Amino acid sequence: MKYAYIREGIVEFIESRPLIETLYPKALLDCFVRLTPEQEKFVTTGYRYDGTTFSEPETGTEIPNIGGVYIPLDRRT
Amino acid sequence: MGKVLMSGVVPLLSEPIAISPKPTAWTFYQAINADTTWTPPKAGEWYRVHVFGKCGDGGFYTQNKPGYTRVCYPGAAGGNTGGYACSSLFLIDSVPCTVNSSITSFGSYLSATSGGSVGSGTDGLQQPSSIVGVAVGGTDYNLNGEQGMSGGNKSVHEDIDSEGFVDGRTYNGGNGGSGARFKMPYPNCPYIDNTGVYAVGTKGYTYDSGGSYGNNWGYNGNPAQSYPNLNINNPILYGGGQGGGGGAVTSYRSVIGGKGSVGSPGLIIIERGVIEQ
Repeated sequence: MKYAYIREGIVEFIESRPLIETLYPKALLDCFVRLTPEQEKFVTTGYRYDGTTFSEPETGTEIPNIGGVYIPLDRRT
Repeated sequence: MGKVLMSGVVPLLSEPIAISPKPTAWTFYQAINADTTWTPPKAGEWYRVHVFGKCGDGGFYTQNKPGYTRVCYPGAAGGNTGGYACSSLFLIDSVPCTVNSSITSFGSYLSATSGGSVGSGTDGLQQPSSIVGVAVGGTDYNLNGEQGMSGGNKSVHEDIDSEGFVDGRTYNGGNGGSGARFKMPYPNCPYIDNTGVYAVGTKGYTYDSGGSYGNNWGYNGNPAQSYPNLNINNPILYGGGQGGGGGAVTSYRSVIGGKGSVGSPGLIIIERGVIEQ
């Protein structure tokens, strides 16, 4: 079971450790969105989230606020 | 997950542990800068835990494009500070720790999010990120971060001769903006240094001496000064990274802005109580 940490509509990282409620204070848990098994295959840092749907940014675009650029999971070495 | 007790005794252990009085003085024990599970060296002791969210990096113009005439670019903004939370905890069990570029968290006890970075690119880097770090769960302190400073504006200075004519012009990119600095949560907190001055990236400039181009190639912006590297055994944090300077372009080719510096990393610092003799 994986969760996407989302701030300002951007996926900043994927949490894959179990028992998320033991990892973060309750006040932060609302920022995590549980991923479906299908979403786990492609959602990664830099994805956009509008409250319902994840969408892929253009490859190589800057990831706001945390820096770095978006690279699809299947193109990482 | 660790149990925290504010009063009473632990009833489920074979040997109940009485809660000692909360210490009034603390000494550095360990700093953690990556995901791990931390186990108290002695179960049933007080620990003071400081949690710092990563600070944002200063901005960096990767390309300042040339134009048909002089083109100067503003400086890039400085990074924002992360949140800072602090708790005094009576701990028995291990605690999962998270330290990454978004969140620093000591289990479910306390957490601080990162301050926004300005990023890099060719446009829109003069203003700082709107995201500042947020602190939650601290029993002693919860301080949110602040925004870095905006990058400076580009400028053109005209040299006027004795007869009132323009004798030459100096074209300047803008200076970078300063990164926000961590606020001192209490007097003499040994883990924060917000007193030193660290230089922002300075402007690139070109001089036009009365119409004949003195430099047809332009100047890159200058890079910002970095904070000292983190020493995990004697940690000191500073704040958001400084912004890079803007370039000044004449014609023919692009230049680059000065590189912004990196903000202080996310960190958990654990202290033990000082045992009074």
